Amino acid sequence: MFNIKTLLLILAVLVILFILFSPTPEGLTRQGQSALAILAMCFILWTTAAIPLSVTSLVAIALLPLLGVMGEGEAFSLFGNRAVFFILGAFILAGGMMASGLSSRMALIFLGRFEKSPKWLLSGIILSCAFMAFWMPAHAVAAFMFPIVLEIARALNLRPRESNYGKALFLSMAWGCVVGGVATLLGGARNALAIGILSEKYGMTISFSDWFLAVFPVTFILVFVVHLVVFRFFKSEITDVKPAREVLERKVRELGRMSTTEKKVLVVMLITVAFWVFLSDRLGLATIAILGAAALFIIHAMTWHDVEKYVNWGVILMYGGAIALATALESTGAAKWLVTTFLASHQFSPFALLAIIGFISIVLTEAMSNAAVVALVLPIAFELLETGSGLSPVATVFAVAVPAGLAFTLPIGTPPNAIAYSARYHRLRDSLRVGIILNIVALLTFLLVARFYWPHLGIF
Amino acid sequence: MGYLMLVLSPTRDNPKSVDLALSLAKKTQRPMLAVFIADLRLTESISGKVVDIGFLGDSVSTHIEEAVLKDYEARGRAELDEVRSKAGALGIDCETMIRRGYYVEEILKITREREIEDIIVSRDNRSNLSRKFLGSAVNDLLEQPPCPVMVVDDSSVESHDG
Repeated sequence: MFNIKTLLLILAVLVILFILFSPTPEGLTRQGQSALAILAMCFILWTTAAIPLSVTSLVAIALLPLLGVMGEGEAFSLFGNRAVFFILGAFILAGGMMASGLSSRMALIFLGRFEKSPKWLLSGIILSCAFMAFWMPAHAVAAFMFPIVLEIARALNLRPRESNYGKALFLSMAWGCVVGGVATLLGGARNALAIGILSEKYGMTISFSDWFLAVFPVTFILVFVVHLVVFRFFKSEITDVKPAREVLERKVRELGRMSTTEKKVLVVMLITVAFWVFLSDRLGLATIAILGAAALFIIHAMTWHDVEKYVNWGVILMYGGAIALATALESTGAAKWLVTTFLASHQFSPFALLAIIGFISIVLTEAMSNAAVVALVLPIAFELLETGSGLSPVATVFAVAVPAGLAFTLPIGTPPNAIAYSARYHRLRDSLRVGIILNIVALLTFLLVARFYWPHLGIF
Repeated sequence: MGYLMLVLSPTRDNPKSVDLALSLAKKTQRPMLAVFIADLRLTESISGKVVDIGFLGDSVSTHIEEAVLKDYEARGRAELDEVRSKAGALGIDCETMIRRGYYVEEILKITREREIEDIIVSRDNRSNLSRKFLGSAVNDLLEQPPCPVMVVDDSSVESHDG
């Protein structure tokens, strides 16, 4: 009997064949029609993860020349986009932090300052996850924080699925990672992917510091909102966190003194971030990322074996394929056709357009990978700008990439949610009930920041 | 005399199944075997997300899987201790075991290793459609029941012949 994944694969093939063999609509080229067929296939497969996301990207990039959308050379050269290399460098740097133990040490030191009471401990988890997600992918933060939180929950003798404090611990971890992950280009590869698509279409970019300046207020407010929501909806049944304190103290003791490798990784990381902040306009984000990653090998802070253990090479395929698809939708006029056919009669104000794009992104991201949302929505959102709304391409990048990172409800939305859910200390209905509130508040916060703060930065 | 087997797992821990197993064991004067299965299918799905969506390496996913399985087993030990002490209070002979593996495979393995007369499992309330399309380990077990199986959920107890 067919399982659900096989059925979805068959559906994807049928949809692609249906679009390819339908008459070409007026205003759309044959290449544009083929690009739309590939888009539809990617939508089904990225949403359902019937096959690994990176394999979907690989199939997409192979179909581009096969269906005559673009030449083979052009399609494959998009793998070499600088956004892909920035993401690769950032993942290697994050791998260095995890392999050396620096990431765990930073989290434990940070967390150790918040062990006074149950609320303080939750606050420590939210803040440390958010802060760490400034410097490395949010799901990597969730991955190394998870065993720590799990040990804390066990030490506190919390009953899975019954203890409110247990639910609060894991959701604080996931949501801290989520809100921190949107603040910088390092928190989520989707941010760099969005810039990659921006530069392919408009030849523009957003610097490391410009991104942080624009988005940090959203993170800042949401960190407080997550505190309020967790404290309000998961009232603690415990009053003492002494066993948790003992766990943290033991873990710090086990780490011992900071190793030379950790110090090397820390220095490379600090220098790389300083370069991103002050020199990315001149040197380029990707060049700095690759030099930073290379430095880890040159000073013997990391081996290739570590990279293989901590980085999945599918990351290049996923993001390279996503950029190639976005470029194909633009160059064949397929995205423009979609917009003019379905939305041309509507005239939106810049703020309304920002709100619509943000809303679509935050809804989609609950059901599919953040990066897939950026890959699917951003090329179409760019074409919407051509309808004369007056929204800038840079604001559009933020309108897609930031809400796409704010998945709070479903485990499928983002790895931090999935990792937290795997402990089974909370039920799906717990994250659904409260996550939807966070989704709404997060979108409103984003829109308020865009409306009242971005004009000071000249973005909106 | 064969065992009455009670199966617990991290996602299927309806207290009604424990009560039913205890009352049935007491009524029929049979020994009880309480098993907690740390289900690998649960941890594999999470590590799949870490690798496929998060693009982190195998080392990270293995680390998470191991942490989760250890926690499941610790949880299982606590649950089984509770069942054993309840059984002891009722004068029921109760053995316990923790297994790491796939839910159905482990149950079938145990039925081959021991003389099991009845199995009691519990499951979450989900629609039949969701079970059909997203899969259900309990349904998989019911397709090849090695002996009579009772399925406990929040609202009912279903009996299936072996």
